[in-house]
Amino acid sequence: MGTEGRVELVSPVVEATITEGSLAPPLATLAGATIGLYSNEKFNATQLLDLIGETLVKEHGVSHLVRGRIMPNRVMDPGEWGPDLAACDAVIVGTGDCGSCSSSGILDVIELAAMGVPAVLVATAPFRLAIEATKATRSGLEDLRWAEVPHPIGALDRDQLVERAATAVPQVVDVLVSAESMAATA
Amino acid sequence: MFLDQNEDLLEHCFAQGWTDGLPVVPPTRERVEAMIAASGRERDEIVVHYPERSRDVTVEKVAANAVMAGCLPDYVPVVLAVLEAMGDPDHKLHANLTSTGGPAPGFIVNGPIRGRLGMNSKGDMFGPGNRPNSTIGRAVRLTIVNGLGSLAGAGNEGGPLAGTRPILDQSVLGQTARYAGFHIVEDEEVEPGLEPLHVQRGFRPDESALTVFSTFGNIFIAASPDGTAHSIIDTVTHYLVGTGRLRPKGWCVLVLPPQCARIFVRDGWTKRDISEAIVRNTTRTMAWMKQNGESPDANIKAHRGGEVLPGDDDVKVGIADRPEDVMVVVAGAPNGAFIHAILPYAPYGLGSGVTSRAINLPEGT
Repeated sequence: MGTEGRVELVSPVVEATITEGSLAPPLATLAGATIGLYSNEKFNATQLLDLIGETLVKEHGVSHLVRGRIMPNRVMDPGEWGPDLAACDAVIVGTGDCGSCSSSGILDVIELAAMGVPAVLVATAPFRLAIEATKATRSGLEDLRWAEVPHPIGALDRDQLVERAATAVPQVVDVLVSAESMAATA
Repeated sequence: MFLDQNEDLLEHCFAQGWTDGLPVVPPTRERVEAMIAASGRERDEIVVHYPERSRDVTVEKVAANAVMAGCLPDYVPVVLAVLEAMGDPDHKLHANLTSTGGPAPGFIVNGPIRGRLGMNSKGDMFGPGNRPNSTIGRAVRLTIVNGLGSLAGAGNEGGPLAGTRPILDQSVLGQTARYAGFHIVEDEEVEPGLEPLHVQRGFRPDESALTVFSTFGNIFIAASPDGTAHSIIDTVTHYLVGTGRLRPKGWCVLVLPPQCARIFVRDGWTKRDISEAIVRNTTRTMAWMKQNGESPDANIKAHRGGEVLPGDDDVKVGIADRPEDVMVVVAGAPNGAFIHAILPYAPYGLGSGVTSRAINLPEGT
């Protein structure tokens, strides 16, 4: 079709460049595993990750917990993870209860997966669409899941945090342990 | 994209989610080409790289947004310079564009570009009425929305723009400065005894330069018009301490109207003297902050206030750590003594820094 009688508009929109992502192989079991708890140190983040970690030790046989830090408002540079990451069989990052920490948290999970480390983000429900849109900037990550808990996380008391942890733990296990292993042990 | 010439182009822009809710100038190819030509840059040159959203904004995309904002082509070097400064790692682009806090970008313009573009450094400088003041900041906002992916409206995912693009801006309430930014144009001529900000920050007086930041907003300070330098500093100090924004690595911009600037000059003060006095007088101890229901981590990493710990009397926190982080700018009408203080978006000391850069004009202009 020619351009006569037509007007050209230049779209002001920049679409995301889709790059290739990869999923890390899940664990066969949490029993005996070393799990990294990487906190962005936002309000109650470390406390919630600790509660999740403690449950994994008591109920799923995790043997060691390693504690580390992630940046709350941007994705980690590869060199920032530190040497303790090498000891981790899997990592839990969190928490995502704000705009930048939820989206940078899922990107940290994606970067860990690229390094071969299975990881899971714990984040709150209002950020679901933003997290999914961030995931969508990588191809091949349709099956990458995260642990969704009700909002908020900050400003909760300990009993409420225990409830959040109880909501998160089955999802964390579901993400980190292979479906085949789960079925075999069911 | 090509549209039938009888189609309502403005309504097309609204339907695509390209606007800020106000009417825009449709970005026709001819208008965008004129904007690119005025930039003196290649259309595919990357202006901002945004890794967290996998986006690269080119000169052409900035030009399209500048057209929509109502910019004249001569304004585009300033728009590009603001966006390039926002891409500086110290600006923390992702935090600013995704935060639930809803900060707004701000920029201070110094040097000859002010007169060349006819920018307003006098009455209602923050407000409407001047084309470059209003449209440069609007072009930045539209580029944030369209180029950097910050479609607004969190919690309204079923709204009229549902399906156009994902809503990645997570701001709770936003702010009015998100329409046109905090556009600040220094009146360098009204008090020649006060060094312009860009000269303080290392540029030549005849250079055009920008200083860019991200802010939660400003406060309005009524200073006594018959006061002294000391009394104005005292008033400003009380306002600033009361903001609860005493933070490590803090900063603020103080916009002094000519009436107040005159008092400082009369009393023999320099801008540096003003900045040093603000740092000195706003500094409190951590113990004081906690006892007053605050802390640098309040409501972000911990409950407000908190237990006073051993050593808290020795930890100092102010509106800024260094005098150079209290940036004094002269602007406004000569008819009142109302100072504005602009405060940082700076969560837990990791927030947005302040970056300055020269405004590069095309050769031969």
